[in-house]
Amino acid sequence: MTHTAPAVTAARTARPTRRRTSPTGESRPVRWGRWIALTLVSLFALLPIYWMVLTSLRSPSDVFTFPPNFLPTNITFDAFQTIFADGRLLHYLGNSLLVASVTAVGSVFVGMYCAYSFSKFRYRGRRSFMFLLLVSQLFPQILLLITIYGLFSAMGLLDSYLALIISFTTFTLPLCVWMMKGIFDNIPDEIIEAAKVDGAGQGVIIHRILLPLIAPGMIAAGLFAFIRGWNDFVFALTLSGEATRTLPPGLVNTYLSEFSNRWPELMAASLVASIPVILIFLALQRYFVAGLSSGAIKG
Amino acid sequence: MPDIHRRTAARGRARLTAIGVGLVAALALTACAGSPSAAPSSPDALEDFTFTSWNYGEEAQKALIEQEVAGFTDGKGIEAELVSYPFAEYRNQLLLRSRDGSTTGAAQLDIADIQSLARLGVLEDLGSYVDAGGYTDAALANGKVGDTQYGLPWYTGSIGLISNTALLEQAGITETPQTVDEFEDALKAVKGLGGDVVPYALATKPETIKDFIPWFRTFGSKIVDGEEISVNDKGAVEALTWIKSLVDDGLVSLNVGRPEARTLYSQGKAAFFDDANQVRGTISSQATDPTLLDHTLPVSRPVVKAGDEPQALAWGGLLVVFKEGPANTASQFASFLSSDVDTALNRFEQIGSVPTTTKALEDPIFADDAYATTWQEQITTGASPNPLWAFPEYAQMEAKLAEQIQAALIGSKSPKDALDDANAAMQELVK
Repeated sequence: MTHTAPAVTAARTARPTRRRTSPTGESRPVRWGRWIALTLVSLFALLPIYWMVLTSLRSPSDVFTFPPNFLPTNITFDAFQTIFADGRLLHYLGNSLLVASVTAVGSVFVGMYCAYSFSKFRYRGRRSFMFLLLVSQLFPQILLLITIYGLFSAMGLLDSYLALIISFTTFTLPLCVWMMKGIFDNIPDEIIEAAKVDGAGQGVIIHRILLPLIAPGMIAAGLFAFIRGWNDFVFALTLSGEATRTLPPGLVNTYLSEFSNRWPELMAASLVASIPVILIFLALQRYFVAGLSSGAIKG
Repeated sequence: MPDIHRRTAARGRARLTAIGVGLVAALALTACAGSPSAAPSSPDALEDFTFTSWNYGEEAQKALIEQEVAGFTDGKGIEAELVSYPFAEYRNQLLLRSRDGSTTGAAQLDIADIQSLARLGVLEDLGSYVDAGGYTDAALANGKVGDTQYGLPWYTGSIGLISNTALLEQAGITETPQTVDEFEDALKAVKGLGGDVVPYALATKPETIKDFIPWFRTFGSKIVDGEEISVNDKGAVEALTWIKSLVDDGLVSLNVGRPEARTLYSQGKAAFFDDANQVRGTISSQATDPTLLDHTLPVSRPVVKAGDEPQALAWGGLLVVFKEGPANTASQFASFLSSDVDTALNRFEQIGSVPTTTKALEDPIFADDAYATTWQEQITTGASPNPLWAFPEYAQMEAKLAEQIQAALIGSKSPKDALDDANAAMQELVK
């Protein structure tokens, strides 16, 4: 026969006291304050998107209602019908996907080797070259446009996809290099040393051993490069022709005109254009967050 | 199949055909070694050409421009490639691309940009097409740089004052204001109606600073005096002081651009605003009141004292031809597009674009249109170009002026100080 200690019995029968703090130790007012603040920030961030959706579902005359109406009334899908009836949107969308994807892949591919070199090797001029890459990001990109235009014109590359990809890569590559260098810095040198002891060459080390470790970081860098290429307007407008035009200049050219701006169609087209980016983000969100933080702390 | 794909595919086929033809020709030449080579094509022979136009990118004119181009190319065995850039970026793109010869053929050009492009030395002299065209002298003047006719006038007009007579009548104003004082009284009466009415939707945003130029002139400013900039003369300071007083009295609003002005007017919330004659279509598409166009009346800009000349800003589009490429064909196309009466009248009927030839202007289709003829008589007759357009740096100059006018309107500088600073900065640009 066993006897239960009175203290234990008391503890069992006593009503549990309501916890006044969250598992993280926050008091309720602080928690509520945080929720309210985050809700307000989210609303602020989502308001433009809400307005974009609302505008795309309105007729032109409703768009110009003053004072503006923030509630959905007189909903119409005319703008969507118009943009899909016009083959140009899909044409621009295809061009943007092609150019932004190749830019991202190219930047990550080349950037990976640069970053590995900067991170794991010591040689003369390494710091200067890294600094040079950083400084190149400080120039207003519009300054480079004329030079790049002249260069591509002389090379006969104007109005080609290659011109867009090379020009976008000039400003996505340094970003990718610096992002991935941080990730390589985070990988202990012992892993590389162990691989060398086992007889692995540099190719095996980088492709078979390091690549799986830095994959999240590569995806994060690639996403940055993709979005940079996807959103560019000035370079895309100047270096592309009718056949190679991407979304930003294509939409501006089609829907913003001398005498009137077709806001419902522009917003509808912008919504459609944002779908691929949203889908890519949703699919790779896990890697993106991991990649962003993986180079943040030196292990 | 979209046009772009069709053209790209056509170009691809053309290239393949050209390669094929080239190979066949090469083989034939090899086979017939020693036979005389073919004579070069005559300089008068028509060739494929490019037409660059910002309007081609816009839905409102895309089909019309295709139809107009077909009117020239059909039956001639040639093709025109149509290219466009966004309106807001067009000038920069054209200047950049014409320098290295990557833009060829014919192009649409705003009259403000003819000086800049002509100075690059890339434009063909179109003087030989003037006599046959039958253009009006005023329209021709827009395309001239010195004594050379670099541009043929495609459409012409002016930026003037448009009024909503129904709103004015509601405020008790039955007579069109003739003087600045009468105009101000009318604005105050409209303001008295209450609500969220902006009596005069003057475009006060920096990008539409050219709308201040006719007001400066109204008060006697020269803007440019010989080689000197004079946006700080007595007239300009008086004009800006007066406009600032309108802002202070709530008769003019800050942060209004051309699109906002059109919207306010179309919603029946503005009695006056400035725009080009072609705006009729935009008003009708945006208007909440279907009868608004019936109450829309172009009016002469008020003057300081009776007898003064009402001011308006000349506005219009030219067709220019680049020396590089098929200049002969492109020149003939530019001549056809700007002077063919049926083409010009069809353009007027479809989008309200005012023709540039005497014959088209006298045709009943145009002459019987009350709005268009009133505009011509009331506004375009006295319109003159912005004197700053004579300088290739005009865009930067307007930006400097806009910056200082904003400072005056928000009250951070006095009109005099603001215009003194603007004048100094603008003069610096043309040293």
